[in-house]
Formats: sequence, C-alpha cells, structure tokens
Amino acid sequence: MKFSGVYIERAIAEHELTQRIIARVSGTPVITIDRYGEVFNRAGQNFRIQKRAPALILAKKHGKTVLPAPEGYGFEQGRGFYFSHMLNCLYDCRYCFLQGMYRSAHYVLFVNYEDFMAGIDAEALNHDEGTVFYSGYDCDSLAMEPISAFCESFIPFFANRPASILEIRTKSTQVRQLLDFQPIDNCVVAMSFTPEAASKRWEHKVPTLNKRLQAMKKLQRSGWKVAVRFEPVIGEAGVEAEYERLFSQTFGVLSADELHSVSLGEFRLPAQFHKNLVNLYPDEDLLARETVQHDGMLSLAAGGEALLEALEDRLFSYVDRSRYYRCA
Amino acid sequence: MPIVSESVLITLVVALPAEAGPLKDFFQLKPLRATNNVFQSDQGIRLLVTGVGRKNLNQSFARFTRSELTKASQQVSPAWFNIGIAGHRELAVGEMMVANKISCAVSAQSSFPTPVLSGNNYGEVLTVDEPELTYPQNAVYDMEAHAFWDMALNYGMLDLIQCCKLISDSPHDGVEKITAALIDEIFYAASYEIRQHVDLLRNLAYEQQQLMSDPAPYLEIADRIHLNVNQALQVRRLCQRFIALNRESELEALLATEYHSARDLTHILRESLKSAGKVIEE
Ligand code: SF4
Repeated sequence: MKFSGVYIERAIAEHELTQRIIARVSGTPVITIDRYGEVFNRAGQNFRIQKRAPALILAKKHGKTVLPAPEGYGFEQGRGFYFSHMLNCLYDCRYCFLQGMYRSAHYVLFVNYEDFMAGIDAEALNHDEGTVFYSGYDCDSLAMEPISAFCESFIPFFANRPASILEIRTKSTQVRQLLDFQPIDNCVVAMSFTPEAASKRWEHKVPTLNKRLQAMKKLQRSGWKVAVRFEPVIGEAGVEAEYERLFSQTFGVLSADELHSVSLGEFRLPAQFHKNLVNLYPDEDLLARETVQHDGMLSLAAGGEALLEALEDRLFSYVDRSRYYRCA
Repeated sequence: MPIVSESVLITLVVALPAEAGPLKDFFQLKPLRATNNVFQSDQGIRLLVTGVGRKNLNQSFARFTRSELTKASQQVSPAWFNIGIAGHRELAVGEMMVANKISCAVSAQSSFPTPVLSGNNYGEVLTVDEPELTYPQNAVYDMEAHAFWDMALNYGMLDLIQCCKLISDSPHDGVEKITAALIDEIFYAASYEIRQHVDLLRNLAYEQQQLMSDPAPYLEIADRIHLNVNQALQVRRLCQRFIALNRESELEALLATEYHSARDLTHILRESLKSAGKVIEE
C-alpha cells in the first residue's frame, strides 16, 4: 500500500497504532500537523486531483464517535449505529458519495480506537434490545486492514460483547486477518456487489467479482457470517439479465442458506453530493443520466420501484425471503 | 464561471534573475511585452521573477496581477510553481527537495502543499527574512516560499500550487560561495526533474481546464441567442449531458430545429433527455 505522504496529528504521534503504521510505511514522507483539517477538505481542494496520489492522515477523532444509523440502513436486529474510524476509500467507484462529500481524497484514519470502543460500549449499555454497529460507512473497513488493523482490534473487542453486532461493509478481499481469528457469531461481513459489467465500468480499483466471491466463500466456509449487498442498483437497458447472471454467479459460489442476510438498494445520493460529483466528472455518463429527486435525495429515473421489485422476484428464486431486506 | 480560454498556463516563480536564466533556456521563454520580469513561451509556461524576500515577492505579484497585460489576457494559470535555491544543514548542494510543508519563521504559520510531485527528498521549507547561516532546524531555508504560497492561493488551484527547492548552501558550503555560475550549474543538473514537475503540473492544469471548459455546442448556442446567467448554466449542463451520454448527433439535430427562445431550447433539450432516461429494457 503506497501513500504520497503520511500526515500525523501531533496529539497522536506517540499512539501505539500510529507508531505501528509509521513502521509499516517506512520510506514515505511523514509530515507533522496540528489538526487534520489543515490538509483535509480545505476549500479549493480537488478530489479528482488528490485521488491520483492520496496521502494517509493519522488523526484523533474528537467528540461523538458513534452515531445513530440513518432510517432503513441495515438489518433489524437491534438499534442501529454507525462509526467512521476512517474517511475515504482505497477504491474509486464513480458513483461513490464520498467524492461528493469531501473535497479531499486523502485517507483519514482515526487511530484512537479506544474512544470508538468506549462509544460502542456506551450505546450498547443504553439499549437492552440489542445493538448493531455498522462500520465502513465513510470508507471500506477491510481494504486497509494491513495498515489500519481494524479487524485485529475490533474482532476481539466484539468477541467479548455478544449482545452487540458488528457489520463490516466492504468490497475488499483482505480477509486474511479475519481467517486468522476464530469466527464470532456477532460479526457480519457484508460484501457489496454490482453486475460484472457495471463493476468493470464504475468500480475502479475494486477486486474482480470472482475474487470477491472467493474471499466470501473462504469466510463462509470457515464459519464467518457473511452477507450480500446488491447495491447500488443502476437501472439501464439489460440490467435485469445482468442481475440474473450476478445472482447465479453469487449463489453458485456462496451457500444461500447460510447467508446472514441479502439486500438490494438503488443508486441514491444527496442532491448536493450529486452536484459535486458532476463538477468532478462532467463527462461521466452515469452522472449525466436522468434523475428524480425526493426529499433531497437523487436517484436515477430509470429503474425505481418497478426495477427493484423485478429484481426481488428473481432474487427470491435463490434466497429465502426471511433473509432479505431492502436498503432504504 | 467556466474558463473559456483554451490556453492554460503554469506560472513558474523564482526570486533571482540567475534562477530565471536556465528556466528561460529550458522552456524557451521570451520576455513579455512591456515587462522586464515576466517571460512566457507559446507552450503555456510563464515565468515571474520577483526579487529576493517576501516583500519583493508580494510587490511583484501585486504589480503583475494588476498589470493591463494580465487583465487583458484570456489565459488563466491554475498551476503555480515556486522553484529556487535554498540552504539545508544536511542535504548536499545540488539536491532537490519537494516541499510538503511551507512555514513562515515570522508568523509561525504553516501550509501544506498537496503531495502531487514526486522526488528523492521531501520536507519543510522555512521562509526567513534574513539568510540563515546556522540551519538550526531540519528544514530548507529560503526567503520567499511562504509568501509565494499565500499569493498563489489567490490565483491558482490549491492542489496545483507547488514548491521545490534546490540546495545551494549548507554548513559545509556557505552562502558566500553562491554565484550565478553555481546557480546555473545547479539548475542545469536538475533540468530533468524540473521538466518532469512542470510537465506534470501543466498536464493536470490542462485536464482541469478541459473539465471546466464549455462544450462546443453550448458555445454555438451562446453565439446565436441571448442566455441569461441561469439559462447559460442550464444549457451548458444539458449540452454536457448529451455529450457524456454519447448523443451528440441527436443534440446537433435538435439544435438544427426551430427554437424561438432560450426557454424553448432548454425545454426541448430537457424533454429529449427525459424521454430517453426512462427506458430500461430494450
Ligand atoms: S468501495 Fe465503497 S467506499 Fe470505496 S469507493 Fe467504492 S463505493 Fe466508495
């Protein structure tokens, strides 16, 4: 993993994880900063230029570390929360809302995991009905494992908290660390998939569909709970046939009966983020397509409810309905 | 507002005429009419020679950006590149260092150029008001970089404002040894790297320029009918969408039809995109 530089907030320069990461990226220029805002998301920065050679920023997360998950995000096994130990992603999906959210493509890693863990404990304590914690909301949680040691830190933590569930949302094949652990019941590794053609077209730097399926298969075989997220669904000519192929590829490799859950979700993002994406990629056809807007969220005009229902029908020939939910 | 001009510039900024000499040679820069410190090539490279120190740099920038010549020019410069000699306590004379931090010794403020350029050495440039003879910190000492950064921010794209320094003095080779001939030698020895940096910044600037430039069909429309600011933005994006969707010929056909006003045209273009947007299965 190469970075154009490593910025380190002075306050966490001596943190154990910081020290470990510095040792891992020897040879990369290290620059000390006071606050990550000095280099991340400054007015005038350009995501597209920065994405050519992103830097890693090691910082401390201040304030609330764990937040309520948006309505309809995820499955129903308790109160949903999300936490962002990292901002931005190794991959470069053209539809990704992160490009619209930040002006900067550098990766920010908050190394004070202990504060995230304290936040998780606090929320778990407040909710007897059980809690689900989603990671990978503003990043891909697995993709940077060799640097972030995210699983290495959070799997043992959740292993001691069986009433709380951790969902790791990813498109990465970095499963070695997970395979080194004994599987735990309260962790779900959720892989997002789009049809192969869509992935090749828009999911730049993401491992191939086959490689990701194989990684999931390894996890499933060794006893990890895995889930499949078919999103974002991008409505266009021939898309139903593409999904039929994707379902057959997916369930040809993974055992549908052992999946934790399966979901579908359409391509949606806040209107302002879409506008920012258009400014970055005015020549991108996906962003030039006709859209509809509801409550400040944009989705493609092609598709919508009818397409999702058609895909659900096809999906239910592979997966039991009880495992399914639709992503809001 | 979108940049209309096709010609995109990178502006190189140096303090000394001796630093300017080799650059004029590398990039075939010619003096710009009515100036004695601005040089330009027809390849989109401009050079500003500011004089030594923050004050001279600020005055030079102010004069330059106020000048009628600059105002009249259609060219914009998203990329600004400060290059010049500087001292360091460890690096050998002739080595190049790409700045990843630019600090001002007087104000104690620091700025952080985006790591766009690659090189063998990276580090902090510390701008001082008097030549530094003892090199107390592990930084490159210069006299303009921080002022350059502050000024360039007003005109360039933050990610394309860059700085690199060529080591001219150190504890073993004091400032008294710096001569025009030594500067010349240092710059010529680094010519390959300098060219690489300039090429990269120019390409990035060009790419940005292309993204922001107006699509040709839009320019034709704007020539033909009056568009207010709002309509201009709408028509521009509609044209961009046709092009991005690979429907340029359809756009051409629509533009060839009769339309009576900007409103009319916007409606026609929008409806055409809308009807196609709903199709899923062929
Ligand atoms: S993998 Fe997810 S987070 Fe990463 S770029 Fe793609 S959509 Fe964004």
